[in-house]
Amino acid sequence: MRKNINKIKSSVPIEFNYNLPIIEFTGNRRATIEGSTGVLHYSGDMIRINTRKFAAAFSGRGLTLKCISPTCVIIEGFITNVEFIS
Amino acid sequence: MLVKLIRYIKGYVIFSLTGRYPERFINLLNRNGVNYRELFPKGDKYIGQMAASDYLKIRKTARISSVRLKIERKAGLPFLIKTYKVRKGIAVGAVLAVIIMSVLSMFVWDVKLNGAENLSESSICAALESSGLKPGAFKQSVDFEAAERQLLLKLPQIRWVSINALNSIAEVEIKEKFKKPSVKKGKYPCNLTSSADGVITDTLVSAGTCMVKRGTAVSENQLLVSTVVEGTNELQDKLSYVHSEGMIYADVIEKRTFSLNKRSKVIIPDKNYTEKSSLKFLWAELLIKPGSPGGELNCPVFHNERLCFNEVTLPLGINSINIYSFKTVNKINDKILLKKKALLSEAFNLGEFKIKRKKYSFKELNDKIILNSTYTVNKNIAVKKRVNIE
Repeated sequence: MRKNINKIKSSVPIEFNYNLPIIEFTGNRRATIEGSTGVLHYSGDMIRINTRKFAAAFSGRGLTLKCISPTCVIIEGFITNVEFIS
Repeated sequence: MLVKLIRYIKGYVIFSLTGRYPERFINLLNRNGVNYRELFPKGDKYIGQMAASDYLKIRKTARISSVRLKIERKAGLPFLIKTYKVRKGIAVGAVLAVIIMSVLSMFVWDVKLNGAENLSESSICAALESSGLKPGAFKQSVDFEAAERQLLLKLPQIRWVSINALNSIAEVEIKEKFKKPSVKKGKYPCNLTSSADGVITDTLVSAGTCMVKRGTAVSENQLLVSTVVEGTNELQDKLSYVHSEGMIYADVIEKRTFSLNKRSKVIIPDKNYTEKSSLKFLWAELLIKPGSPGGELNCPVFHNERLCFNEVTLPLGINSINIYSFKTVNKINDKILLKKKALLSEAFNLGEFKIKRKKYSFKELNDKIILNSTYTVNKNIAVKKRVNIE
């Protein structure tokens, strides 16, 4: 039974398997984070977003939260650094 | 664009956010499903936008997250209506304007003619009016296609016509028929003969054989230039016929007789004239200045003045008629008046010729004054006369 469960787990994509957020970048101007659970810090030069597994810190210049929904965040601005804090 | 319009109709507020935990406030808003947009940090505070209805719900959330909210600006239709609620006249005016515009746009305000070069505008307008297309006509009652066909039938000089009813202006595009090109007559053999008796003063012959010389006295229909030309060299020793061309100037005597009754009745304009004007709106006319002519004979002169705004002719204008009255008076004519008449005739009929001498002689016969004038004029007397060769 356990073998079968492991087999099924290995065939499922990684983002569903480990509850990982999907982060999509458009150059260094926009980042879309799917699977966010909240905003930890918000300022013009740093935005920290909490996810289920870790927190992602985006630093740069003129950063804004373009769109926020309970599970998705769009960050716009000039992103210079991304840090994952687990 | 549509989203912006919906936001404007619903109304929105631009608010500022200050406090200890703005991130907590943002998360709580997300959790509660409150929509907001364009939230960005500005100095030590955050600026954002939110629907006016949602703003009333977030006071409790703000208190929990220890932030202070402040409305920076209110925008949208509900706030605009609230501002102008006291001024009901504006709303009434706006509604009236919409009604007036929609009613007026059902009529033809003006008929514009394009492309008419030789045809007169009045004849085209008259033809269109008979089809029902005129300023003030109800648009739905006008059959534009039938009007086009009628115009083509009534004015055969038109080869193509199109009537475009753009908004309230009917634009009539006209293409006229091409004129027939003038056909040059063939060069047939002809003589030049004299049109009057006279004495030749100058001969300018470009083709043909000149039969007269300077100082020759000629009578009417006498041959001046012959079509027959003799060959000059050995190869062309036989006779040939040419199309004679040239000008033969001669001193010709012209006689004219003018007569006038000693007493005559003449029509002269009265000093006074009557002005009658009416205000025209679409098809309706309102008399604003009545007037009735008082003279024996009346001559009306029509003026139509239309109000224009931003190059658009409006269906409002003033139609005025100036009625000039004339009266008949008895006049005693004299020789001076008769001479004036002769001089006028001279200017019109003999103006193109060179008058060398003139002589006037007056004669009175019963109730008439008669003036006999004799002119010696220098003119071209050559006229073409076709020669039939068998």
